Amino acid sequence: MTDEKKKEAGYEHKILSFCCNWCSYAGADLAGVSRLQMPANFRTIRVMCSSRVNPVYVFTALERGADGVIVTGCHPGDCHYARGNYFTRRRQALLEKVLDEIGFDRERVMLRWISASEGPEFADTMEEFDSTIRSKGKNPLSEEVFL
Amino acid sequence: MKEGHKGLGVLMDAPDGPNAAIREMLRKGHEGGACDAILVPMKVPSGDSYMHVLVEDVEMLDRAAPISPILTVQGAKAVTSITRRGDEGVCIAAVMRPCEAEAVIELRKLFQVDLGHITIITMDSPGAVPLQEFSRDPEEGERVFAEALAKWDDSAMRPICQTCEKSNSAVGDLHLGLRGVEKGKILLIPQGEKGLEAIAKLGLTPDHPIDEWKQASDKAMARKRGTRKSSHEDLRKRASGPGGLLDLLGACINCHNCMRVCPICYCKQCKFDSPELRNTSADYLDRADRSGCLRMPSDMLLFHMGRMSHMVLSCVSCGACEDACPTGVPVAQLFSLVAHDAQERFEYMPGRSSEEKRPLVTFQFEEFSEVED
Amino acid sequence: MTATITIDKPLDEGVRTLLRTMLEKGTVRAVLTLRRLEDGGGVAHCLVTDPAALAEAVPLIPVMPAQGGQVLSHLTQEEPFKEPVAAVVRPCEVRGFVELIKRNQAFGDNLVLISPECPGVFPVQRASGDPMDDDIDAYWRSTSEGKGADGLRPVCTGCELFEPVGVDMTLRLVGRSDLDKALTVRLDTQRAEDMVKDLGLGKAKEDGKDPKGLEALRSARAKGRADLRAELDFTGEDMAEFSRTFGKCISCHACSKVCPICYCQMCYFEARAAAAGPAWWRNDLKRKGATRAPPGTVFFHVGRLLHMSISCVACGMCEDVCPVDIPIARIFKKVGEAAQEVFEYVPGRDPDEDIPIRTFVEDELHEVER
Repeated sequence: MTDEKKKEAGYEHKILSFCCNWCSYAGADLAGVSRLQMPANFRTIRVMCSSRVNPVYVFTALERGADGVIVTGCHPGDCHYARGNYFTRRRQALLEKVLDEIGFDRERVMLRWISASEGPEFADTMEEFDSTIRSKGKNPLSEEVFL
Repeated sequence: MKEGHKGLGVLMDAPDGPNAAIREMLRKGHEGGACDAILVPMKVPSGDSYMHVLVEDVEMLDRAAPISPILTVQGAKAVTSITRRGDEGVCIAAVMRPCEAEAVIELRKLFQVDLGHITIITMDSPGAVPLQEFSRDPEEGERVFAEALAKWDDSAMRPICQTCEKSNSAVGDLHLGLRGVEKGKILLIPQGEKGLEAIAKLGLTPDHPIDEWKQASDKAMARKRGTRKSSHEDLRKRASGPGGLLDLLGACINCHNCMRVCPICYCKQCKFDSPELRNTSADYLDRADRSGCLRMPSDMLLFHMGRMSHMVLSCVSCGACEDACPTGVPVAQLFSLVAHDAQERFEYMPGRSSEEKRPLVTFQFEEFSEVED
Repeated sequence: MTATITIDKPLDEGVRTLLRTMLEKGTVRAVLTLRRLEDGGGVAHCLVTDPAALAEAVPLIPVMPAQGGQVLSHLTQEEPFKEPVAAVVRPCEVRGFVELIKRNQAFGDNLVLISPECPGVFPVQRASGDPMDDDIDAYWRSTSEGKGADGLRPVCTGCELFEPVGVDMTLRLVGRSDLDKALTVRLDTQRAEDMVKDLGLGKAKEDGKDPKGLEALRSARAKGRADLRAELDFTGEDMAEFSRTFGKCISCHACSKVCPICYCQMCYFEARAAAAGPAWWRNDLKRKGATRAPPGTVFFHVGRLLHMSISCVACGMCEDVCPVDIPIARIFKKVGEAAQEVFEYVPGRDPDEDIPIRTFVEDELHEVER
C-alpha cells in the first residue's frame, strides 16, 4: 500500500476488542466508571472466556475491514474456567505464526491479560494499541477486491 | 420463451471489439440508473484467470472481461452467492454465458436465487478454453480464445462447448448477438419486459432487424447439432455394454469435485457425502467378501448415477464438472448425453423459462403409459 | 534388535507375496492396498479379502489416488476392525491416519500397518491419462541410488519424513542395490515378528546398516525442503502476494475434501458462505466498490490454515486435485511446519501425543503476551 493511502485524510481506523466476561470486561467497565480517557476507535465484543475466540474470528474481523484486533483475558492462573486463557495463548501463538507466514502484519493483532481491578491498565492498553494501529493506518485487506 | 423483441434489436458500435463495447454499455447503464451494480467476469490481479466480480465503482470496469476465455466459477453460483437470501432491492446487471444463465433459471426454480432485481445479459458464446489447459499456460489460452472468437471456430474449445447447440441462445433479458453481425458492431436483443425496460433506460430504441443474426445463429447451431449427435453416438457406444460405464469412469478418484462445482447441485449436504452412506468396518469387510475386493473410497458408481438421477433433468451442460475433474474423466460429456435423452423425454429444456415446472414436480394425467407394466 | 526378512521377489511382486501369504495363512482377515482397476486403467485403494484379487495389486505404484489415512478412517470411523487387517500405506498417509485417530475419526486397533521408505509419488493424473510406465524404471533406479526421481509431485521433493514411523513393517527401498531382485522388510513391532514367524518367508535376520543411499536421500530432501521454502515466501508483503497466488482459486474446495485432516462433515467456511446475506456484500461494496462473487476465497484458505495446518502432514493431495494448479500443498506444508515448530509438534508422530491446540502447558509462549 502506498504511503499516501495510509495517511488518507480523515481516515478513522477501527479496532475490535474481545474482552472476557470475568476479568477484562470488568476492567473495561472500571476504566469507564473511573472516567479514564480512552480512544473512541474500538468496539468491544464480550465473550465468556478469551479462549472462546477462535483465531478464525480474529481473521474474519481483519478481512471485514477492522484495522486491528485485540484479545484480552484474565491473567494466567486467574481464569474463571481454570485453564481457558492458557489455550488462548496457544491460539494466539498459532494465529501470529500463520499471519507471519502469509505476510500479514502480526502487530495488528494483540493479546493482553487485564484483570477486573486493572481499569487504568485497560485504558493504557487501549491507548497503546490505538496509537500502534493509528500509525499503521488502513488495513491493506480492507480494500482488496479479490479476497 | 419470452421473446418480446418483435424481431428488432439495437445495433451498437464496437470498434474496439465486443468486450470494450459491452463495458461501455454497462458503464452507461450504471450511470443512467438502469442498475446499481454489475456482476461481470474480471481478470484477477495475477492476470492468469477470470472471476465474477460484483462492481459498484464503475471505474473498475476497465478490468472487466464480459466475454472471458474460461469458465471458472459458474455464473449461476456467483448469482446464488449474492441473492440466496434476497437482494435488498439492489438492481444488478449480471453478464454471463448462455449456459450460466440457464443454470440461474434452474436455480430460480429451486429457490436458490432471487431474480427480482437481476437483469441477465448473455452473449453468443464462442465456447471456453479448457480450464486446466488455460491454467497451465494463460498466455497461450488467451491467444487460442481470441482466435476462436475472431473466427467462430470452436475446435480448440472444450469438448462440451463444441457440441453445445445452445451457445447462441438468447437466454438473458438482454442478449448480445455477435455471430453473423456486421464487422465492428454488436447486436443488442431485448427479451421480455425486463429487457425492454433495460433498453429504454439505456436510452436506446430497437430498430434493427435481427434476422441476419438469427439466420447465422441457426445455421451454426444446426452444424453443432450434427457434431453433438455424432459425438453422443460415439460416447453412447463407449458407455454401454458391461463395464462400459465403469471403463469411462475408470480414472475417477471419488473426490466429488464435479458435484461441488455443479451449479445445479446446490445442496449444502450432498446425500453421497453424508453419514447415510457410512458403513461399519464389518460391513466393508462383508462387501469386500462378495467379490473378493472392494474399491475405496467406496460407492463411486453410486455417486455418479445417484447424482445423475438427482440433477440431470436440469443439467445445462456447462462443463464446469469436467473442468474441475482432477483426473480428466469426461464427466460433462457423459452427463450431457444422458441429460439430452432425459430432457427430450419430458420435452423439457432447462433454462428455457422460469415459469416452466421441473419435470419431476409436475404431472399430466395421461402420460408415460409405456412405463406402467 | 530390529529384525528383517528378505523376500526373493522385487518391489510390487515382493509385497504381493507378503500380502498373499498373510491372507492365505489367515494371519490377516483382509488387506488394503493400491490396485489396478480392471476398467479404465485407473488405480485405487482396494480392501482385498480374496488372495486371487491380489494379482492386480500394485502396492508400490507411485501415485496417491486418495489419502490412505482418509481411506482407513472411512473403514474404521464407526468401529475398529475386530480381526487383524493389513494396510500398505505411505508414511504421510500413516501420519494423516494418526491425526484422525486423535480426532476420534478412526480406530487403529487390529490394523497392521506396512509402509515403504517412500521415494515420493507422481501426480495422480499419471495413474490414468498419462501412463507412467516409461518412467517407473527410472523411478526405481533413482530410488536404489538414493536420488529423488524426476517428475514427482513438488511437495514430495521436500519431504524429510519419508521414513515411516509407528508402523509394524517398513519396506526398505531407498538406497538398496538389490531392489530389482529382493524385498527387504523390517519388522518394527513384536506383533509383526510374531506374524511373520509362521509365514514361511524365511528366517528373520538382524537389520543391517543403513545403506549410503538412504543418507543421500535424507540430505537431498533437506535441500529440497529448503528450496521449496525459499520459493514460496510471502512474509512482509501485506498479504498481497498470498492473495495473488490464490486469486485464481475457483472455490471448488477440492483441497479440503481430499485433505485427511479436514474431516468435518460440514466445513465451517461453507456453512458461513451459505449463511452470508446481502448485508455481507453490501458492506464490501461500500468499502471497496467491488467484491468477488462468491466471496471469501482467500479467507477460506487462511481459515483452513488456522484450522488444520497444525496437523498438516504435507501429503500433497490438495495440490494433486487443484484444477487450477495453485501450489497449495507447498504453501500448507510451509505454513504448517512453521506453526508446528512453535509447539515442537510433529503431526502423526505418536497417537498418544495430543493436538497442541488442546494441550495445556502452564509456563510457555510468553512472547505472545504483549
